[in-house]
Amino acid sequence: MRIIQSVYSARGARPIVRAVGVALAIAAAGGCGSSSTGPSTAPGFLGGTATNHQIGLVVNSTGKSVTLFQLGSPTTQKQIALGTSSAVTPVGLSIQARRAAVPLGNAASVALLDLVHQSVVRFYLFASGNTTGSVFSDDTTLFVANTTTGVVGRVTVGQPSDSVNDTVDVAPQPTALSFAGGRVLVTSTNLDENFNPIGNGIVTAIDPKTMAVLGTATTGGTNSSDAAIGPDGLLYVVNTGDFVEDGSLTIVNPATMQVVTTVSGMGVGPGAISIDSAGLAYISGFFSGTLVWDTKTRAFVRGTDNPVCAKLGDGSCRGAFAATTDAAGNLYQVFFGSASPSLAPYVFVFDPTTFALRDSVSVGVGPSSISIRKF
Amino acid sequence: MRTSTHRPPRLRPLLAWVALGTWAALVPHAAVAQVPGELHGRVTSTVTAAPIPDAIVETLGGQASSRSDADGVFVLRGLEPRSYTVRVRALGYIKRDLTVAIENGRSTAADVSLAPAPHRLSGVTVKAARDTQATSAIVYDRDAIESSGRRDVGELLRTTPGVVITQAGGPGSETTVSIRGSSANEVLVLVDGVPVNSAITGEADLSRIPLESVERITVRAGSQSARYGSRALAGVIEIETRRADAEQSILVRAAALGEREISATVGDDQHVGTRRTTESITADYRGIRGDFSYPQPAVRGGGTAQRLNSEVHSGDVLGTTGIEGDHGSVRVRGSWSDLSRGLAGSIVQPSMTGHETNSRLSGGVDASHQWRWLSWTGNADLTRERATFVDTAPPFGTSYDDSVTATGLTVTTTATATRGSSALSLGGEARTLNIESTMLAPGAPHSQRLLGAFGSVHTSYLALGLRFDGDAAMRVDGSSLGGGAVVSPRVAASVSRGVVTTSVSLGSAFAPPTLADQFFQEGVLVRANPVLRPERTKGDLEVRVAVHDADVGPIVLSGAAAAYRSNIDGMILWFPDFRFIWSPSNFDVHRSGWEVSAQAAMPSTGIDVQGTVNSTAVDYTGSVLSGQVVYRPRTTGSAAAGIKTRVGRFEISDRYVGERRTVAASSLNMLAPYWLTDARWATSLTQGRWIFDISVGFDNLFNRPAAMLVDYPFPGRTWTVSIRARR
Repeated sequence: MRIIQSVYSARGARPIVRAVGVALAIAAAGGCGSSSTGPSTAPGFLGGTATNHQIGLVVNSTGKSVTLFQLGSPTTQKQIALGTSSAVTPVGLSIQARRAAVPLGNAASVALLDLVHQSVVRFYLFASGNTTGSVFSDDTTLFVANTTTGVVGRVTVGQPSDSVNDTVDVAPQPTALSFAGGRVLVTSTNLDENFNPIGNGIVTAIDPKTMAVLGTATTGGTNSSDAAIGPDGLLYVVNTGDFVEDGSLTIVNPATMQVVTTVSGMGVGPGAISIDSAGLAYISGFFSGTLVWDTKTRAFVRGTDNPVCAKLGDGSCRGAFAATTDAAGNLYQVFFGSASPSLAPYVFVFDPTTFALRDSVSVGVGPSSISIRKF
Repeated sequence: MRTSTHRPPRLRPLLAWVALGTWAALVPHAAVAQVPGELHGRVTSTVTAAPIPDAIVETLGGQASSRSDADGVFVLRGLEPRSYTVRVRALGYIKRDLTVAIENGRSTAADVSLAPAPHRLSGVTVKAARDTQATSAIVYDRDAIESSGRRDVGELLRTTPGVVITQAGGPGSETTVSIRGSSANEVLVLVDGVPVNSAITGEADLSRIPLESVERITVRAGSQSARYGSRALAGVIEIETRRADAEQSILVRAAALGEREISATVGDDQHVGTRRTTESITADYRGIRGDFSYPQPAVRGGGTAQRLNSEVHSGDVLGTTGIEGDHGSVRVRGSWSDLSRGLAGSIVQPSMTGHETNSRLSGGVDASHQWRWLSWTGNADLTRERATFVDTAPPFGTSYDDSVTATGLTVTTTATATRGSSALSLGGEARTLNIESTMLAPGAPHSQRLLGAFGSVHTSYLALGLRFDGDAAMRVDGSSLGGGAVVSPRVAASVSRGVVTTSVSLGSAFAPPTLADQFFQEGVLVRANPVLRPERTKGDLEVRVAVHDADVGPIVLSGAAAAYRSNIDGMILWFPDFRFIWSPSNFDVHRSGWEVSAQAAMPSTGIDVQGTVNSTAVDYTGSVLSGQVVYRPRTTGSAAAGIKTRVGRFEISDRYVGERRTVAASSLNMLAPYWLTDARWATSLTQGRWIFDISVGFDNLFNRPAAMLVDYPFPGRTWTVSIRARR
């Protein structure tokens, strides 16, 4: 994914944006985590409403926070501040039980959240770098990707140290983590320090217990920035490309680490993917909106000529940073918003069958990824 | 003040005359030779008429100095017969300069009354020169500057009402200024009439201006484009460099964080008939190691860490020479300054290799002349500045090696005609600027020409026991970069009765987009915006009430309260759009607020107190962005108390900066407010013809963690010791 940094430049009091540097990787790492629910509905806010226990969790990237809202009452919300530091540039989260892990980007750390109390429990720190993707392999074991240093680190929730000490080298610039078949699957963009492709993206399989690399697979496109496991157990990798030509989707068998196929025509700059239980993949790009692709038929339900999006006044699409579905199949799509032109950030809600726009939810500043869970 | 020349009493003059006659007879050619005279008098308070003990009375140039006794009486002896400028100053009072003529062998009397004033804000309300269109200003004169113990302009202005100073770290680090919630590029900073705002960013780095080179600083809040042109949207800071004078001084300073400073001034003057010629040179060196420990944010594990790569070295030389006559003056000045400092980056992405250099060479001529009711001033200045920004191993991204070279020629002229209590001023300003920078896109303009023409009228009259003042001004500016002619009008009126002045002003001002906004080197998902429109405030309305030197029993009170509304159309701010492309755009903001400041002095006890409270609302308008603009504290304030005793003056002061948003349209992750307490002791000793000013100070006395900007912490408690010797 493309990298950018807004720096409070020492050359001037105004933020000057440099086009260099590792900072905000807009890899939609959200939704990568495995799903788990507690033995009973969570108490209080996290239990949702009486008729709908689902909770939406949105990472506010520029807002440096996480917003939780009840699907049954979307205006009932809680926000968790992640820190004032300019280095706090979260882009995704992973969820396990009633905890969430939020990699904090340039802060080179990951925040562990207590979702019941809507608070930050603790931080786990790399010595340096930029943390993007994360995934739980079980209730207490968390894996975090460090894009800058090209490693994946492992922490245990209750470990005494705040440091991420167990690491393994993976392909350059890992941005997204998935867990399937007892393996941690690391998707790397394989970009150099200037964010030019070294080659196509690479998926690395890691043994979560030994941290050994079990195998790699090279995707069929460059700048592979996000991935999700389908109900078929395959890994679907989004190749974002160069933001000029269309990106693609590579299907990898995590058991064999063989590429099944690569599908082109995913629009310009696809950056996030989620897959529902019916096998529909939702591929979002902030230039176009969300494409819907059926993993069973391997055909578009909504292609680049008709993406799911909230239309602008001129009929063009708002872009989408990420999208996911609730239990009823409603599509929740994250729109980052824009100060100029003046477009408010929202989570747009689309009909599960017609993809007609049904609702919009205000979820704070700079939303970049979303997950929906029942706790 | 009264002056009179009379024969000294009793026997001593007789002896003197006898001696003179004898000597003259022996040395005929020395018949017109000079016999020292003396100056005597009494220093009193303008308020209580009570004597002021321990006032320093000195001739500028250092020939003689003395202190008043318990009755306020002083005597300066051994003065060669000629005209002198005598400075009388006392802690807690506004200094006075007077010109006295010492006659051959005679004693001249000069009684002096000093007005009490808190030393730091020497006059909350100041009537400016008639062509300046300011109903009020805050002025720091040389005495206030010296007694402040501060080192650069940024430090000095930290407690100025309406002013917020943003410093990216410890002493010597980059320092910018905001007035009434403005951006830094919306404040025009002039040094001897020449803008020092960066040619690229439009911002002025106040840490680059050492106070040792400064004679006077005037802060004018509010729209000032009607007189000063572009970038004077939120205010103007006028800095006048040291005037040549007959004085010698040396300052030695040591401070925490490995700071060392030495500064020296040597000046002289000569009187030929009614003309006075002066020359002086000031040189200043400051070095700071700069490293300090700071609390790490929780996202980086907490604890403490060490701020590195904060070293600063700066050198400044200012030379001036001038001729003053009855009807005019000419001043020629030249300055050179050089800066080398580390660019430490933020604490979460620190750089050990970032480095900045800046070299500035400037020369200029200031002239004025008076023909009866017509006066004229003219200035010409040529400045060349080169800055480099290098980081061979930045914490992120690739190395960079950027440079900016700017050469500017500025010519300003003003003519003022005065009839009775009215004045008409007309003037013009021309500026040409050549810029070479690797930070700008290849298509960026390399030169810019600016023309401005301005005029103003002022009138005042007395009626019904009131004094009425009215001003109207307008300026038209044009730039070779386009945008057409910009017209900036301003009107102001005031009514005074006794110690109370009420004023109202309405003005318009503008700040053009900066080259950085329009032509910055584009990168991945970063776009400059060449079609930005100028930032404008079209109806800057201010209402002010000021009280000056009101006597309330033994207390002398001064104060001011001002309220303003000054919306900005098109403030330029950077945001990402929904495709995550960062770019600057124009945003309308509502800006309003109020400021209250007050000083109270009790001269009989040597106690004075002062304080300011400022409230500034700078809110986004529109449906997407709302609330206070980031890094603009809604509330700021300061309080100070001082007492003068036999062993010197003690002062303790607090400065408060309220919470600041770090995210637009979000009240989460606010930066915490902070109180910082400073303490200082200062005294003066006289040894022969030398006066020694000794100062010991502590900043952030209670070692509170604080930062104006996120990830750019201030150091904790620091100390400063300085000794200035002068004569």
